[in-house]
Order: sequence, then structure tokens, then C-alpha cells
Amino acid sequence: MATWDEFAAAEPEMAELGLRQYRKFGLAYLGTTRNDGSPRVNPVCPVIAEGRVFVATSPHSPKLRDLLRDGRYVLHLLPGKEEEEFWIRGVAKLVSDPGTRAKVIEAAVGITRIRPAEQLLEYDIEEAGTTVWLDFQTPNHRPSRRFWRARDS
Amino acid sequence: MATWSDFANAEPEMARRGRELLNIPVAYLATVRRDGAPRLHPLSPMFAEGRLFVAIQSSAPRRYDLLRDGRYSLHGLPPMLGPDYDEFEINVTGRATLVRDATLRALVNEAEHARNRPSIEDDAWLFELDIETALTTVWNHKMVERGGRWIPTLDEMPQATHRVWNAA
Repeated sequence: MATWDEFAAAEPEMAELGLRQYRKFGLAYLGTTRNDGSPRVNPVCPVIAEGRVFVATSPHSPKLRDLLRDGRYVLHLLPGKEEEEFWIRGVAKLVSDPGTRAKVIEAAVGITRIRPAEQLLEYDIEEAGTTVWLDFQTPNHRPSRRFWRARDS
Repeated sequence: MATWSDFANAEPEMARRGRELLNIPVAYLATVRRDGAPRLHPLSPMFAEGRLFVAIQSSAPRRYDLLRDGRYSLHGLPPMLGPDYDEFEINVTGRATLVRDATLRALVNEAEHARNRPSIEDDAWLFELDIETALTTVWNHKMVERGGRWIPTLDEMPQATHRVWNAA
């Protein structure tokens, strides 16, 4: 597993593509697994703080229950018109340290608002991927994909 | 399980706005990998004969997810920002089945051509998405105009209103 900064140090171009998408919309789609083994997808607002990825989640949210039972997630940033895609997958874990929470709340200003009741989860990164669609909307359109996997995964 | 038309007949307003957003034409399809972890990809849903379809490239691993365990979750993108923005969300879940019928595939292609979309790639796998549950969510955002753009204010926490439809 890796933090955002560790991933960005290893693959700066992929991370820059991710940040470019993130700055456009600040919105991502989160995939989790329900307790019956079926998939769930929801939009979320990730926050990058202290070189790590976090998402605040309502305490009543089904996706929080999913992640507390099975932390495996996949997070896909909303694609832009330039047809670039960025995703990460790994394991989410609950953050209980008040100091970390305070730093995430500070970093979230202008992006999203984290309510006191919300649970904060850190999203460790196991894999990351980017897709750039070349010659999009032409008969020759094709994907150019890159993939990164954390060394200890 | 139900078709899109069954859902639309039962819940016309949910289906009307949902179809607008699923036609953007990007939505997120979640599947489950062999190891039980979630998988997520953007794709373009298709409507034909009152039914909902997705085509998956012949190189994409998620086609095997759907063959092994047809359970899916499909989520539309939010509407464009504007003064009336309500972040309308549509999510449908159910089971996907592989379409082997060439006549049905041709009808999906015809429907795609009618909205100026290209044909499904010849080697792509076509799945029909049967619907078990449809969920819509709207948020009562307070919108503000900043620099010519409408954005939700972060000063007030919006409340969500959910509506659920389950196939009989």
C-alpha cells in the first residue's frame, strides 16, 4: 500500500493527470462491495491532505458499512472532455486521530465541507491507472493506458 | 427483474430525468471482480426496445465479471451546474445478461444510429441490464453565482431526498 505522495513520487506524470482531473470537478465515483457481494457505486468528494487521500462519509451511509466490513475500494475521477481517466484502488481505513482530521478539514476548505458527525476514512493506494483516449471521436480512437502498483502489494 | 420500460411506466418522472443523465453519454458501471473486490468503469448506456444495454470492449476484464456474476450497479453523472442544480442522481441495480441474439443487437445499433452514435464495435460484448431497483436522489443545494459560474454554496449543508423503486 502507498500514500498519494508515494505514488506521485513513483509516477509523477500519472499523478499529475489525476490532479488535473481532480482540480476540474473535485468529484469521484466510489465502488464498494455490499454484504451480499454485489457492487455499489456512489459519488464522493475526495480530499488530498498531508500527501494522503481521504473521504468523509455520513455515519448512516451504506458505503461506510461496506468499507468497515471490507475496506477494498475503487475510486474513479469524473472524466473530463479531454477524455482522460484516472483511478486508484486499495483499502480504506477509518481515521480516528483528531490531529489528522483537523488537517483534512483544513485542506477541504473550498472543496467540500466535513460535518462533525461524518466518519473520515483514509484511502491507501494499492494500484493506480490512467487512460488517455487518442484520436477521440475518430475511427482511429484508441486508449493509451498506464498502470502502477505499490511495491509491497 | 424489470426492463427500463417497466420502471418508466411505474415511475415516469424518475425515469425521465434518469434517462436524460444516462444519455450524457457517460455513466459508471460497477461490477465485482473474481476476488470479490469492486470494479468501476465509465461507459455509455444504450436504450432500445424499452430496454437498457451496455457494450463492453472485448479486451475489458469486466465482461467476465458480468458473465460470472451478473450483478451490476449503474450510476448516472450529475446534471450541469446552474441556478436550479439539484445534483440529481440515478442509480439502477440488477443483473446483466449477455445478448447473443443478432436481431436484438441490430435493434440496439439502429437506436444508437438514431441518436447519431456509432455502431457497437463488432467484437464488443453486448449485455442487457435487467433492473431490480432504481434509486434517485435530489439535493436541495443553495446555488450561488461566482465569476459567471453557478456553484453550490458550502455554507449550508444540503439535504437529500431519496426515491426508490423496486421491481415486483
